[in-house]
Amino acid sequence: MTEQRINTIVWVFLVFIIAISYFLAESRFSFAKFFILGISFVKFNFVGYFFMGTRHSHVIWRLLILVFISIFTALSFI
Amino acid sequence: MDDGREDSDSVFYPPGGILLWIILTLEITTFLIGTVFFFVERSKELALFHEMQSKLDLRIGTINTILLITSGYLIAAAVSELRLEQKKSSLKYLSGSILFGVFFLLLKGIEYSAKIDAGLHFSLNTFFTFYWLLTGFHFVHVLLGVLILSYLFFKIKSDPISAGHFQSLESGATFWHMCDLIWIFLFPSLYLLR
Repeated sequence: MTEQRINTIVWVFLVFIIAISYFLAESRFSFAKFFILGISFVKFNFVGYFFMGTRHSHVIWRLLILVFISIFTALSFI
Repeated sequence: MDDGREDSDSVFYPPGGILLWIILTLEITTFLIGTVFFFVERSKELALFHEMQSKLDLRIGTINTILLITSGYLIAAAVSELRLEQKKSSLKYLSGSILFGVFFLLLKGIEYSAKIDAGLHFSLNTFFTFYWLLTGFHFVHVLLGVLILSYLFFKIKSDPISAGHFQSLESGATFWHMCDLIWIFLFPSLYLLR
């Protein structure tokens, strides 16, 4: 499978989970916050890994992306 | 992958170049510090923050997120195509990426205009001080990104294809993805987490 095809699948998936996060925010579902944060975590890592191309570079750059979104997720519980 | 891309094991060669990743780290850290203050202030005035958050248009925020993600997908495609020396196709994706960036700015402008008309100014309360600071700073980054990508479009279009073009486009794309990453945590902070 070409990189372009993989990125297209990732893009469709990201649009889908963004739509889900909209409906979660509009709902009164008690655990919506956890799902919204989970979706943001996935989005952040997928943009870094697939679109930015960190999957082709040294592991430290993937870790940096992971650290950023982990810090944000932790902060949101203040 | 069958598109000839080689993996780089060197820590000094991230996509877009190490200098851009230093800038990216500083920028994202700055926004993260901004969100620390946002969450701290929110914990002090939770009722006010919830009330003010309901004055934001969640649909516009969601559409803007989709616009930026789509633009990021298109710039990644433009980089892939230029790597394969498909200049025409790369320019097609690059122009699409710029267009979606412009759509983001226009929609954000409409949102800002509605907020000003409704009297939701910078100094109204703590929530809107953060809203204008964080989204305004991000808006400037997106505007700069659109200008950089537009410059690269005309540069690549007018010159014969070269390795320099590829490096420039990959760096421009990394800056553009940085705008996307910043928005990915601004969007839930300001619009979604209620």
